Amino acid sequence: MYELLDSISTQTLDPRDWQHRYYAAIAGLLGLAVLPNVIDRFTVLVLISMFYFAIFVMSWDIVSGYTGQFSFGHTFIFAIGGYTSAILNLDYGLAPIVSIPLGTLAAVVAGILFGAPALRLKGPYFAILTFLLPTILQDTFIFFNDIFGGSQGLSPPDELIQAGGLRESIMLNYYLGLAVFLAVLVFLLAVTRSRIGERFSAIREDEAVVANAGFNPAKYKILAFALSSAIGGFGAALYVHTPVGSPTPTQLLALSINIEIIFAAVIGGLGTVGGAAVGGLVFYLLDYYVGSTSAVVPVLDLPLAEYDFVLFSLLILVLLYRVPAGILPRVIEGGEHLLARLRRR
Amino acid sequence: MPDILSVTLNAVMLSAMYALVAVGLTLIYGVAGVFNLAHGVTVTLGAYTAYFVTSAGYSIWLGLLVAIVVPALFNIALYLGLICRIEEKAMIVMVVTLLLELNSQFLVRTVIGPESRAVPNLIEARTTIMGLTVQNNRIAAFVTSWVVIGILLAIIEYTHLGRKIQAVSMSKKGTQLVGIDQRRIYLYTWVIAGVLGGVAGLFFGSLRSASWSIGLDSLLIAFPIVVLGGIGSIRGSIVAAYILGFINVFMISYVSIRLSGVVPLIVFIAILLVRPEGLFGREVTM
Repeated sequence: MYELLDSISTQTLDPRDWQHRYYAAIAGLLGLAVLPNVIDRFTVLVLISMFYFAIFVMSWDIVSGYTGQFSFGHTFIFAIGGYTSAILNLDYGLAPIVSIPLGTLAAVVAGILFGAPALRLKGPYFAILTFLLPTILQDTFIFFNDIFGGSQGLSPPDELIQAGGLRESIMLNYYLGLAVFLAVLVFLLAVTRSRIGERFSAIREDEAVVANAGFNPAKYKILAFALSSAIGGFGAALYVHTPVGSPTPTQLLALSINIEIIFAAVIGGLGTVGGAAVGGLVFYLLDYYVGSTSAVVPVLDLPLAEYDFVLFSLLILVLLYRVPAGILPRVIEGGEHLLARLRRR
Repeated sequence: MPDILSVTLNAVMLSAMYALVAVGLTLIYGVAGVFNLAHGVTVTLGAYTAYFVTSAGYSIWLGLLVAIVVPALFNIALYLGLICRIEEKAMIVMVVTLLLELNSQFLVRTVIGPESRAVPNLIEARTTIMGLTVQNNRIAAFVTSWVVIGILLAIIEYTHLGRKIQAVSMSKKGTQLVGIDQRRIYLYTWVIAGVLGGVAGLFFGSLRSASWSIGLDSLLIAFPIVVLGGIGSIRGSIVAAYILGFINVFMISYVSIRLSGVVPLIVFIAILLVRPEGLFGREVTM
């Protein structure tokens, strides 16, 4: 913890020294704060889901972007967090304010229990494990149909915010989502800019060097995984108690969610947290727009909304080969160059 | 209670198919060092090309030929077009191959259709063994699996090419020093894996049916097999395919069909905890 504070204090808090991207970020956040007052209710609901998706992307980025251990089954964590909180609320009558922390705890325990043995190994073990875990959890849900509601999922539990009217409820949930998104972002930025974060990145570059420097790579990988599970589990536990989230496999467990997370992280840039956050927001809106468009793919005459997965896959392939750092870091770089040029004139 | 003999025969036949899929996966990892999540595409291609050739009125034997050639060509294109430029980045390879796998699954479901298709038998008629009637086609599947794997093992053990493959899997630097073209060896292993996947796909399609999820399904069962055998070990994968095939078939037959997905994972976690290097693998812990 001292390490953390130490490294934060070395960074300046004087606004005059800030880089332009900080101003861009603040402008973006102000925009998000005003936005629900100028758009219709239905779109606000979409934006609420968007915040939770961005939290999931950040959760993934801590393990996969930083330590380089790609998880293809992070939804396992989300489902544990969300289902635990929902079941504690539905079957045992615990209030969401109590069940959400317990769901988060369950996600961390499950993450360490299942992730730690694979993280200690070299090679593709972790990726294989993460691939299998959601499948198995889904089978378990179907096997114990009466507890977990099978492939249909559970009925929605109580909402965290019990507001009078629909409009208030939507607005409060929007600001709750925004606040949690921001809190997670700031927390993870602080952690990853500390020495712990440096070690996470060092593991991605070369595990042997980290070990030679006297740090146990397995320890830091497990720490990253615990952190990621806490964020993801908390996000999911909270999500099921909002008007837009529910404890169902399609919302918390499907492989497609994990693929969308990878898409968003690649767009934003792997291992940056900020990139994951912005990539999550941007990709969710893009995906929502493409999924509801009636546009048609030219020449082939196919409905775009139906083939959005193929479209995004192609986009990601191009990015991985042409812009491996992600779009966002490129945009920042390009913007700084442009500003520097303008200033010189 | 199902008859134990027929369950055993079922397990033997299914394990032989698992072995085909798993050996290809483990070979690419052991030699070329990348984990190919698009391996299931070769299974899908094998099943569906055989289906289309036979439904166009041609013989199933032509279907077998096409089911071998097309997946092999697919793997050549995959390796030369996408993988060889990123093979140093193991995680990116996994993302790219996973996208291919999921897109192939999506395209088969939307373009060809969600309903499953039957691939005709290679051999008709039945044989009676110890009072049990078995389709000759199932025997053919079992025999083919062993013939194909036997040929592969013979190539690896006794030919010049096979020794090069072994050398590359043991030491990349050493083989570079003696002038072996690694890229070419990698390409050969991708071709071999494509052939194995295609044959497995054809028989999956013929013994059961070809469906859009066949690729990912066979991949999910191949994962624990490969790990149990020791990632990169061909012999390990064959033994592990039979172990997991038997466990799976017996659990489904005698306990519950809903357990089919859970068993491989329990095995996988147990291996991770007890013996992560698998049955025949090298040291893997840090």
